[in-house]
Amino acid sequence: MKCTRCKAPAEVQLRQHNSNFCRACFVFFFQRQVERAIEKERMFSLDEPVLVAVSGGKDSLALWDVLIDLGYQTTGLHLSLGIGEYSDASTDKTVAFANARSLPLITVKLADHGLAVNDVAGLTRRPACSACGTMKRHYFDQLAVDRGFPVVATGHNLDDEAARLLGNVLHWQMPYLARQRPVLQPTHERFVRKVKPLYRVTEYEAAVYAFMRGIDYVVDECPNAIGATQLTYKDMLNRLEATSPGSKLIFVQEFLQRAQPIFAAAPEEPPRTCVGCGMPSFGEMCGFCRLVRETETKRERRNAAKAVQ
Amino acid sequence: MGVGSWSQGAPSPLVSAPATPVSSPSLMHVTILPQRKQVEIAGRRRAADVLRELGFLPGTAMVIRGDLLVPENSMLEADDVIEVRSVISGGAPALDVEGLAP
Repeated sequence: MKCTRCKAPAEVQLRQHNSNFCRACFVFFFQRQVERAIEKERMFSLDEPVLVAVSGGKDSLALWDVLIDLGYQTTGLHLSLGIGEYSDASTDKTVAFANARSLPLITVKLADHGLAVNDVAGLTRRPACSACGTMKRHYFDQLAVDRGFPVVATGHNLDDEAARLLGNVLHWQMPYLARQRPVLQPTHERFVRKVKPLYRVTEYEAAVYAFMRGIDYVVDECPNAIGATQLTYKDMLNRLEATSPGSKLIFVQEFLQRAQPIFAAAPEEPPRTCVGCGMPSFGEMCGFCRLVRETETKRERRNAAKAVQ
Repeated sequence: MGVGSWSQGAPSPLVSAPATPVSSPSLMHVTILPQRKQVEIAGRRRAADVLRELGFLPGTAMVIRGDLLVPENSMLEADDVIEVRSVISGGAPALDVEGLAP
């Protein structure tokens, strides 16, 4: 099998693009896809400092690698989540990636704030993914604005976006559909722009890129993600993709072009300011502060019960 | 999707599923990540067929031989040593950063 672009032996086959690529041409193709997304959606410029949320997985490290190669000013932000050995390995991979390339990296250890994901989920009996998402959103938003970054980039890929879209459509989540875009402009003084430069590339392409670039990422899956609904949606979409290559791309692209503007046109109440942390909130207190309070209360109760025993 | 989730009617390619690496020269040796599971498959076949027989949908796993990827349409030899690495990850809404989820 030959590379579609240069006729050298191909290393990867992309059915949705009806193309085969050798290593050099795939890396070029992938980087161009990301570059086009950034330019077309006006995500950020070469002059703007970009805070890149990096987990240690293939997507976020591939994103960081591309942004560096394209010449953007990047700083990594890694949350050490407190999910046992998985988090330790994720932090190790992220730190090693940054150190090997002399890149600035901000690391926040949630356990240092008394908020290790597994502890919070256990105390509050909330689903771990829900607690984890609430804390990620808060720290990404807060650190970006406090450190003066105008934009946060995340490694969401086409599969993530397609699965999220499917979930939002299945439940007709109108406000979420209105906000599902590769660029989210700030609607509050303590929000910054949020962008998803990988929204045009598949999960497979991100993994291939990471492999070809020699990026040492965490291959293990988060233990808390087992049985996650998003994985079910991804599986359904991949079954569709198997019989009809390109379905995921069409699903997301056509939504963004045809449907999303209609949902976005509906009037939306602007966020208020959380009385606890000063970050944006729909209620008097934001979800993060409610989660922290509940965690602290239940921890105190548990400790008091232990003291009695 | 996933190892062990055979599609209905698909013949099992597994000769054995030993807990430790095996050394038979006439069998394809497959390491599946992230499960770190090792299996043996008899006979040469396309990478796409190996993936299908292991229960992977197209585009959900990389086939790695040495330092190179193997395209899904390419043949794998009967005595190849390969790695099949899943590319699927998830757990949203944890991954979302839309900022104001209730």
